[in-house]
Amino acid sequence: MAPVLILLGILAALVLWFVSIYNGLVQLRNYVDNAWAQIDVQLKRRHDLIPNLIETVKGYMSHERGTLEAITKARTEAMHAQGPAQAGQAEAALSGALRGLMVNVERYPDLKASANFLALQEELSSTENKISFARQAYNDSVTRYNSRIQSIPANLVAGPAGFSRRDLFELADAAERAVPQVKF
Amino acid sequence: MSTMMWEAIAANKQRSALLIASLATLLALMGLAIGFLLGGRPQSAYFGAFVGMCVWGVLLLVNAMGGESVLLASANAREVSHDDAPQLYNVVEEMRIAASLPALPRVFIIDTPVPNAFAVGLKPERACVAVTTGLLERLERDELQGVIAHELGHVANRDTLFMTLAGVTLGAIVLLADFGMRMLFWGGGRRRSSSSGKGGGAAALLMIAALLLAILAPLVARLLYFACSRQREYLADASAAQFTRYPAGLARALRKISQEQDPKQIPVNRVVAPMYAINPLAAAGSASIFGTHPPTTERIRRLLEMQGAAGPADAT
Repeated sequence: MAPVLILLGILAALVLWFVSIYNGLVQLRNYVDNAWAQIDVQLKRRHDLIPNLIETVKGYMSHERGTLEAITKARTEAMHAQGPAQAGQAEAALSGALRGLMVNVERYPDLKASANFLALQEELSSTENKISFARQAYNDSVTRYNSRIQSIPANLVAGPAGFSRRDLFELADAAERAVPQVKF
Repeated sequence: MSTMMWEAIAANKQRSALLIASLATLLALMGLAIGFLLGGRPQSAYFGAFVGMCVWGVLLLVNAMGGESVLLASANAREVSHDDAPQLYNVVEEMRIAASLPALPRVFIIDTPVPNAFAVGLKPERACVAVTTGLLERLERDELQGVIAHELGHVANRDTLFMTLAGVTLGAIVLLADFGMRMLFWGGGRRRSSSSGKGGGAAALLMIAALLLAILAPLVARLLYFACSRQREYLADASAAQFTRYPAGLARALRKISQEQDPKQIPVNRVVAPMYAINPLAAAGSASIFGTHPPTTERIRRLLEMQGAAGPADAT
């Protein structure tokens, strides 16, 4: 009788252990999915802001048709991109085109002084910030998730249960703030 | 970075839970001691502990019902939308994303020229962040971002919850000590001397121990409370650095704020004081044992150290 009980006890402990690891992994994976959704929201928001921006600057910058067309084209491509890798490239191109526009704006003092443009500029730069912060949060959560599913003992559960590695979201962009060495 | 930070946050939570457990224990001991001092019997000691726990429960309940609104109202804060203060609102949104909070905190502005900020909220879903107009006028975008990141760091690390819980428990201890001491002076002592007829030395010893406990418990509780909140400030600064990836922004903001602190201009009481980014009741640089915030100069030094490490080391 006693050996059977001990065996049952060990079995129950094993099941509990498996469940707790599995649930932990599910939670981490949900963080990753949620973080990705955040990036998506901000990218869409940027796409929505661009027609507004073009409308505002068009009157002032009639000589910059090329720059404006480049932005519209980059926006269209970014909107149709599939998956993190492709989206990363297209969004980086859009960021570059927008930066080009902002440099050109320097030559138009009237435009720079208009309240409408200033408000748009704040929205646009804030959206750029939100994209990069969302990406940062996403990459942090992916790193955490990936290192968890690769380390013992979670990897014993992750493999059979179908938890696979996720890709980081990279923007090919050199003008990045470096990660500080956090101390406390 | 991340694993170290996650561990530090977990350690912070454990420390906070331990703090609240020890404060609650102190409260129970206080109740025992005061009950014993007033009644002179073991039963009255238990009754004292029971009363202490009841006071605690009531205070907790009141706080859970609407502590945030009371705090915000006492600071004369008004809620703002995106159109009222676009930049502030955007910065809060940005930091909410960086901190991966489940919901956007409500944003409040306090009309006072003194630069400061604080966050409240028992749950991250119910968080509120308030800044003064003085802060908005003085700080540049990067600096404002640093301050908001620090405040949302408190929210993400659950400091706002623990600070409230610890504050409430501390309040209950102080309340009980006050009440007990007053009762003791107003005649509780007479009943005691008549009832302890034959117990003699042992009872007297117990009485002295209980009296000591009743006097010391509030002091010990305060020390515990303040020691923990200083550690939390450094952690919130580190969180801010992690969220913004730009510790220099917060460092500059701290320098600006600390240069212009005038405690008389901000409507603040001792309960709210620990929640501000910079303690409005203490001068910059002073590090008394009862200070809730570490000295600003030390915080700036640590932040700039993080910034230094972010430079050439990670550029490769």
